[in-house]
Amino acid sequence: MEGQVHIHWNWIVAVDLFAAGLSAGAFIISATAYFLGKERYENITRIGAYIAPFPVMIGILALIYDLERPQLFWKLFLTFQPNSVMSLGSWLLLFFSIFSLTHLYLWLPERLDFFKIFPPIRSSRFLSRFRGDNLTKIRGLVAGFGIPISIGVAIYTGVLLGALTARPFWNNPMLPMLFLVSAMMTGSASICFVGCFIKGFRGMSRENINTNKFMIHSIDFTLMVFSIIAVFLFILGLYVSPRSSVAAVHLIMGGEFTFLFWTFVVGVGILVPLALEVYELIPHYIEQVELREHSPWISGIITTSVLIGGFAMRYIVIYAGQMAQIITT
Amino acid sequence: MARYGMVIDETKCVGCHACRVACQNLNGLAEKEAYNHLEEREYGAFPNFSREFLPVQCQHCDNPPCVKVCPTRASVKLKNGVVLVEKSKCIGCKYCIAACPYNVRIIKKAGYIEKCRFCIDFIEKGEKPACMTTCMTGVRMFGDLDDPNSEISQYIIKHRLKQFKAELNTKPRIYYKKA
Repeated sequence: MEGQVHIHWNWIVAVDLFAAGLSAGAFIISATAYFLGKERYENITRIGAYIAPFPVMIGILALIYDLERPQLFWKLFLTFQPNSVMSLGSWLLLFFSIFSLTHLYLWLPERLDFFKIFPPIRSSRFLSRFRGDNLTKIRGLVAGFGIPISIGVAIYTGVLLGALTARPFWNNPMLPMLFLVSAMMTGSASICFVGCFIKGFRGMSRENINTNKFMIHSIDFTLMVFSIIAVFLFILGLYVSPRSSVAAVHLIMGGEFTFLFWTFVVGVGILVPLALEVYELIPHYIEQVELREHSPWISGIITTSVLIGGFAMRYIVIYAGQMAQIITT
Repeated sequence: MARYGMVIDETKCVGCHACRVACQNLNGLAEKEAYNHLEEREYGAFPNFSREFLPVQCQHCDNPPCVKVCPTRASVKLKNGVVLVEKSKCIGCKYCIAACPYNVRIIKKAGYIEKCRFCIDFIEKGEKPACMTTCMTGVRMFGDLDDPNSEISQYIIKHRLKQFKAELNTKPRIYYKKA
């Protein structure tokens, strides 16, 4: 019976980790862009604010659905267990949902400010302080306090798995880092996708398009370099650990998940978009020439492949982690 | 307060699965559900090789990872050393299953997690667990680890017994006598 494998966490958990990471990443990018330039990067901030609340909601629903007793999920919020990453994570997700919804509300256009429809809210002096003159201040506060919470959400998805000594494939300090970098990558990819294909460029000057485009591509480029480093250190970390970890890393280095991992996570998820980013950015970096004309093909391939790679990474880590067991004499 | 523990003498196990069946009968488990299982492996190289059976059940760790990771405090460690699941608190997140290095936790049909309870109803009356009383070769020994003069404590010291996967710092309460 040794080596018998039970998969108790399936792709639904991978969906949750992916969605929570995507939302957290979108929030981080959106809030950071807000602080770097309120007017210059307004598009990035706004799109990020529109995206952030929704994937995480799907993720939370997936997580609740995955419980064996979904009707009892509220018991998570009756207690706080600092030792349990699951407990920390559920609280983080709760606060993150509140912050990302507030962030979304603050960035809604004036005509969609649905709270103004209700006279008591419109006339309430206390509530009206949250809009109007104080808007900049409130936006800044929500974005500022939201950043640490969203970083917490992005890291929690990795620590949830990495904190278990019983699973050698997960029990690696680089895993949460890999999840954080990947979360920010998928976040910025989703912003880029919505910006290029759903919102479109109507009403934007060429200069405005270029600043936003340059910003999002630079973020992507940096994150991809870091994610290559994180993948390298993750694999190295498993190789230089005890026997069980070496056996675990064989799942992606010659074992069952080799093809999936190297094709989808490294190839599609990192190398293809990195090559396209280099094509877009390097001439601009080196010769300081104008950015290339916007091509929907390049943006489309970059964003979809990053999203595919991000999900594939969660999926493989979830399954491989449960297949790898501690080996003892 | 007694702190219960167990010794499993692997060298005596013949792999008859009687402990598993006794446990299933007592706890009303289905055919494929079990709180204890036998890990079977072959070792050595021809001609000096053999086969061993390793009976594995909840180790009732002193540093239990399942209790640490439980988000609703459904997994608890009692004062007498027994680790239990309070089924009314369990929401079935399966995090404890992922955290347990011994793979001894199962999901019940009703949606909560359950595992070996050290036959807590029996041992509180001073009787022995079912897996022990049913065993025909006397693989298991049960007793109080806190009492240095108890039979089990003396046996552990005499044979210098070790725990299973002790390197993970779970501090298990089941000691194994290996070949």
